[in-house]
Amino acid sequence: MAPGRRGTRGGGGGGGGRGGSHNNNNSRKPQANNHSRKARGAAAAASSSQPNNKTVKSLANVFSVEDEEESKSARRRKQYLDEVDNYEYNVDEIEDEDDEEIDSDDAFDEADEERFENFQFLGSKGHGNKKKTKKSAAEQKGKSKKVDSDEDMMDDQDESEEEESEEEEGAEYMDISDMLNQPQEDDIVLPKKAKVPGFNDTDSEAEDFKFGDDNDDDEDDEEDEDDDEEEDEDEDMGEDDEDKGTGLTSFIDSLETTVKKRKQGDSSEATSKKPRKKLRERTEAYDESEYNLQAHRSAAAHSVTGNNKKKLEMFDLVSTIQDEVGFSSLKKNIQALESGPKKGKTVETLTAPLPKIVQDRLNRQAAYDEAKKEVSKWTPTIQKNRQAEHLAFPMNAPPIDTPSSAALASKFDASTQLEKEVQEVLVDGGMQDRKLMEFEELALNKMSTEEVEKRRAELRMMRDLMFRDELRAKRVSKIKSKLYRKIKKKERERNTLTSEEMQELDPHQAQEERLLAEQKRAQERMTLKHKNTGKWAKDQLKHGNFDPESRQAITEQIERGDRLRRKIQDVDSDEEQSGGDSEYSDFDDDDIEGVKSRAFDELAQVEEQLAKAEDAALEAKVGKGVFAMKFMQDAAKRSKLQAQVAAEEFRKEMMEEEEMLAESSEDEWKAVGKGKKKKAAKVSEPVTVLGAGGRMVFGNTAEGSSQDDKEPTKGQGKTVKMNSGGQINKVAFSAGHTTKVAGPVTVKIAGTSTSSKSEKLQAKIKKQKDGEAGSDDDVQIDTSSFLTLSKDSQKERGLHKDVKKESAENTASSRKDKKVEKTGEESTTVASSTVQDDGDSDDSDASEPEPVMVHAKTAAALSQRDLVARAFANDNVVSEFEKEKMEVMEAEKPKDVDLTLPGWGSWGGKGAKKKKNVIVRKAQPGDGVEVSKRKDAKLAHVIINEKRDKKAAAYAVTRIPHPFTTWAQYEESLRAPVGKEWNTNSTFQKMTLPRITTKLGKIIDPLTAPFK
Amino acid sequence: MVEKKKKDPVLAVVPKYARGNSNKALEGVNKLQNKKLKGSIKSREKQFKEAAYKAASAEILLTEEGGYLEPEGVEKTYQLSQRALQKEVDISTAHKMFTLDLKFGPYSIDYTRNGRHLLIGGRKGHVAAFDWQGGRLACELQLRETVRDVKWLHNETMFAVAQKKYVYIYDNTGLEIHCLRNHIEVTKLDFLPYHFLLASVGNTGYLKYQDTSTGKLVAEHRTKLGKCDVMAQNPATAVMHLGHGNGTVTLWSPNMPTPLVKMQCHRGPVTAMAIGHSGTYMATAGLDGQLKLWDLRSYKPVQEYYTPTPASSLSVSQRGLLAVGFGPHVSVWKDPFRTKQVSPYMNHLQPASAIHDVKFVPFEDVLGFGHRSGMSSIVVPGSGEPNFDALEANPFQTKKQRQEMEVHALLDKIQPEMITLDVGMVGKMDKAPIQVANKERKEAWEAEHPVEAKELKFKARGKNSSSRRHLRKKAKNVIDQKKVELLERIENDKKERAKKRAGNPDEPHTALDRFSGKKRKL
Repeated sequence: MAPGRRGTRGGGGGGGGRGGSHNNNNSRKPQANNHSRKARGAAAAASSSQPNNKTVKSLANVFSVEDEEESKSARRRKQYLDEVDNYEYNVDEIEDEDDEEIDSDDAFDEADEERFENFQFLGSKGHGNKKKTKKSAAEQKGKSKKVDSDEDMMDDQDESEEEESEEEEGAEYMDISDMLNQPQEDDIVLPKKAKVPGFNDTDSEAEDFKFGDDNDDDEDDEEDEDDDEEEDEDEDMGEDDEDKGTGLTSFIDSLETTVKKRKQGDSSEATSKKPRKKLRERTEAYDESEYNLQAHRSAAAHSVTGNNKKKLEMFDLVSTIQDEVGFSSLKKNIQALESGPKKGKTVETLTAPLPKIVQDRLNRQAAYDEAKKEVSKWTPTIQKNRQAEHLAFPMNAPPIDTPSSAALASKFDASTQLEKEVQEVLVDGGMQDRKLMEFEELALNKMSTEEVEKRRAELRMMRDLMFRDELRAKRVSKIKSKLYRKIKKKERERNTLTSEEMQELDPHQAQEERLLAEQKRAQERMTLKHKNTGKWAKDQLKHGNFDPESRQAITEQIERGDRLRRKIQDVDSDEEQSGGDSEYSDFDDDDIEGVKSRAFDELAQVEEQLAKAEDAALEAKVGKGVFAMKFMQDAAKRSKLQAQVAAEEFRKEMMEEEEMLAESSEDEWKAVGKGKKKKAAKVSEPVTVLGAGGRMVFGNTAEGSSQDDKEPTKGQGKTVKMNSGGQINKVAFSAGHTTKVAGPVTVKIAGTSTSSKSEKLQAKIKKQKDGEAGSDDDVQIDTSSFLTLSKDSQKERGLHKDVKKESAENTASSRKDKKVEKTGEESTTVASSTVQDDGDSDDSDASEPEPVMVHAKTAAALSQRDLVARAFANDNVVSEFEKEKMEVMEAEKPKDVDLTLPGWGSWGGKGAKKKKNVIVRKAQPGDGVEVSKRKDAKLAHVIINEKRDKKAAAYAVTRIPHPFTTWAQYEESLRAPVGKEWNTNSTFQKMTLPRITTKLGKIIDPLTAPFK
Repeated sequence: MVEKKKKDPVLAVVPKYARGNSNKALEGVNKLQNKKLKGSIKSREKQFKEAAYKAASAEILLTEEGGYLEPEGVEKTYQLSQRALQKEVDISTAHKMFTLDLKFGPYSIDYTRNGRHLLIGGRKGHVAAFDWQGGRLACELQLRETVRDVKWLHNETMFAVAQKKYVYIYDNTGLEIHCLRNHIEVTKLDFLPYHFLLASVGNTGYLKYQDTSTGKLVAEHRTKLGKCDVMAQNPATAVMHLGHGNGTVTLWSPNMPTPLVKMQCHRGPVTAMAIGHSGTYMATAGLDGQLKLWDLRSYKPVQEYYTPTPASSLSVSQRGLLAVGFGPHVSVWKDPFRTKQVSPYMNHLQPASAIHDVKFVPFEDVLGFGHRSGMSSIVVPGSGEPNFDALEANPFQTKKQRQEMEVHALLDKIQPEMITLDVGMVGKMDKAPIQVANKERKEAWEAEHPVEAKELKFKARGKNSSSRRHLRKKAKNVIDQKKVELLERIENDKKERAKKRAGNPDEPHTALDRFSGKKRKL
């Protein structure tokens, strides 16, 4: 169909050229793609591959040009319409118009042409121009020739063409089938082109490809120029047509024939050969540039006329610009181009482009990399936002500027009465900042310039020196030489004063130094550095690294260790006694004397020091300083006086105690003799107190007394055990109910003798135990309580107490004890009275007697205990409790369950075999608690429920919550409360702040790129 | 000269507010693979640290300081009588020393949590509620039946009274609001403010928890230890402690039907009990005349004292003073738990009266006690907490604040299931073995998805044939030909079947015929 249509359009004077030009315009794009289609003149050939719809478009565009021709014969139109149904409507419309009478050529005459020479229709881009030029060219041609004949001829031609086309219609069908059947040359060429451009082409095509690719974009622009030049050329031709008239006609004829031939394909064999040749020439690679076009056109023209010599060679063009400087490279290129095919050299061809898939993949990869690079710019921003504890949207909101107090103060202007008054007062007091500053400035101003200069210089100098010193220090500290360090150390040692010298020079300082040294020594002693147990020392010894230096170092270390381990010799006192005994020295009666003497010595020392201090103060007086001031001296005097008084008091006390000691021991002995003559034997029964060091310090206790008695202490009697903490572990007589002393009991008695008392108490214990031996109820007797009794009571009473009274009371209590045994009822009151006597003996005369609570470890408690034991003698609460606990423990033990049913699946009766496969359900974890693993395993008086609290378990967590990996991590996160009850308001708000907050009604902008 | 950096004074206080060891929490954090977790842990620790610092620096707001009586020379604090003290203290404090002579004693007393309101209940039916500091009487009732105990509920608007048979709840005007008939013959009442639970125990030996916000009876536990009239709550854990006649003390939570802990504390019946505010120390008194102080972390006695007569009532103040009422005496002990005390801090004698109920007043240096002949209040310097948290218990609360606080308290109410010995249990790891957890989960699921027992359907097979159905649908009273035929057919069928079942009578009877119903031919 397409060729037929083309044929109709192609009719009329110069229709081939015109139509060709139109087609050329429309097919520009495909042309650009199909690089072989360079032939501008060969419009028919170019349009042959055009898709149908394109032609339709082109028709729509150019109908104004063509309709004139179309209106010429209705038949033709009809036929036309038959052929192309789809644009029937358009054509019809135009058909009926009267203005069709006006030829477009006439309408746009020469005058107009001149006028609108440079005019281009909007959007036509050289279209109109081209048309015009073509038309004008045709007109010129027509004018120059005999127009009528020409027109007739054209008409004839048209008619003949129509006929032809009519025929063609029929032929055309055939034609397609033929085309399908016969592989034409075009067919052969076209697929090649349709493939990858430049893939299988000839050399020239390759060249084309090269240039065409680059110039693709420029082509449009260039073509405009081309058209202009064409026009020029046409005009030239118009000028020359007188002599070339015949040539031109023949050219046109040939054009027509070629067109026809192209269309008709193989319909006529005679004409088919010629155009083929030409076609071949056309497909030759010529760069689509102004030169080529020109050359080609002219070449075509020449070839038609047979003027082959005039063909424009590349060299002709290039030679003209030989002189130009910038064209040398171009020339080279061209030479290379030219020489290539001519000389038969194998010009390097382009490598085959990669398959599309691969190419696409590469493109994608490249694009991905690029995109990634672009996107990765955001990562810091995103990371920052993700890690942020809190994000407040809209971000980057302008900060609310809260004016500082200084800023407010600077702006402040006293307006009210009160403010003014305050201001006034401030001004009067000179308390204004501005004034103060002014004052300072004034002070500076007062100085003369010289002074200022001097000061500045001084400052500069100081700064300089400091800087230099710093630098030096830095440098020195970086020195790693051991030798240097050694020398330095020795130098330092040489420079330091010995302690004696120091003492002479500055006793106070010396004292301090000594203290410091001692502290250091203590620290050194504590560490193991000197013990050859260090890593370095071990290494040295192990590897026998016995170079003199290291050996010396080791020996030094050993020496130092020895020195440190040696006992320090007191500078002043030389009465350090045998070290091993020192801990027990307090137990010796003789040692008390020692202690005392030491105390006196210390006193003397203190006094000496006081005297020294006085001297020092006197010395200080001579000098200047704070100590020379009066109030300091007064204070010193006062403190000295106090110290003296204290010393005196202490001395007095000590003396008194000594006297008392003698007295009391006598009295107590008497009392014992009186009260317990019968039980003298029992009383004298020795009790050893095994104190294993620790804090327990006895003044004069059981052991002492036993020593006094001169009785053997070992292997006899009761043993009261004490632990190292000075606690007395009680001997619990009942397994179920033990009471322990929690706090350590420290007893310090400085020299008072209570030996007799303690003995008496021991006797009491004995007695009570005897009494309890009968009853099976387990009342524990806390032996420690008796010991503590003596101490406590003494502590309470103080040291200078009337011992007589005490002893009397003791005897009284013992008597009362006897009473207790007699009647329970009576004893309550007695006991309470005892308590009262005991507790407030000092101030009993001051206040009325008042019953008082006593600690269970005091003497008064003794009778109470006894009472309680008797009152609840038949209440076996403790044993019941124990029984209950046993039951509970038994019940909660994990048990295996025998699931076999007796009599099922086995024989019963006498002699029956025991079933082999006994099904026993083993105790599962969580079924019970082992007795030893119970929480109350070590608490006889407590039963702790081991059952699971299911209701509370609902609040426990069974699996580790998400981000955490261990229980510890999770539980640590719970350890601090968040609530406002436990936190300050600010903390609470901060802790409960949601991660993202937004402002209501505010637009949240997308992130702005910080990197742009 | 290098200027010494001034050490931040707040830093010294920080350890008091630091929760746990931050270094321990950060141990091994750097080795964590999970960067996000690492970051979150670190930031959390930082936040905790900051919180501790902030809390420590907020201590500056605690402007009040507590103090005790300071004896000089030979003076003893326990010698100082209230009369002597009255002369020394300021007027407002002096006003807080008073005695109410009332003849319906012995009186049990109770103070609200902010210490502002006092409730007294005489055994013989006299109940009075008043703002004791302002001296404003809210209500006074004569109930004309035995009143064993009185207790304020969450605030001064409501109180519970344990009467002869039941427990009643009154409002501050004295109007009876509720009668709790579940609580029978109650001797002791207590209220858990954070759980809104009213706990009661009485002659029946049942410990009952009633939710006062919902009215639900949350739990009732049979102690199986008989009559009980000693009860105290652990303020830190909300565990109820009961003292029993056999000298044992049991610890209860509403979750468990058996006591959490059972301790043999005394040889005789337990007469009184009190627990310190930190919940770590407990004081018990028994009829054996002993007063024992226990460490509730180890359940071991720390101190033991003997009272001349068995103590009737105990109370621990906010700052850890222990008041012991025995006979007509009240003695107050300073720091009795940690150190062995030789002499009491203060003594007081209420002549010719027996002390029934001692209670320290919160946020006041005052001790109130009910006795046989009324109610008295004495000043004990250093007993009350000097600084109060207005959001927790505000002595100067306005009406509006009270209302606000009531709502907040209800919103913050804790569930009774959370009462356990271990306070920090919530949210912690469940230490039970996996088998137990699995079993529980399964049980829970089964409880949620009960298998519905299928109804047994009585299917009368063969009784529903098509002909019978047809017959059923026909009108009963109409007899037509078709129906007659049908009936006939059915009859025939029936006969046939019976015949078939009976089998051939001529055939010999086999052993299997007994199952087919075939009669043996005799």
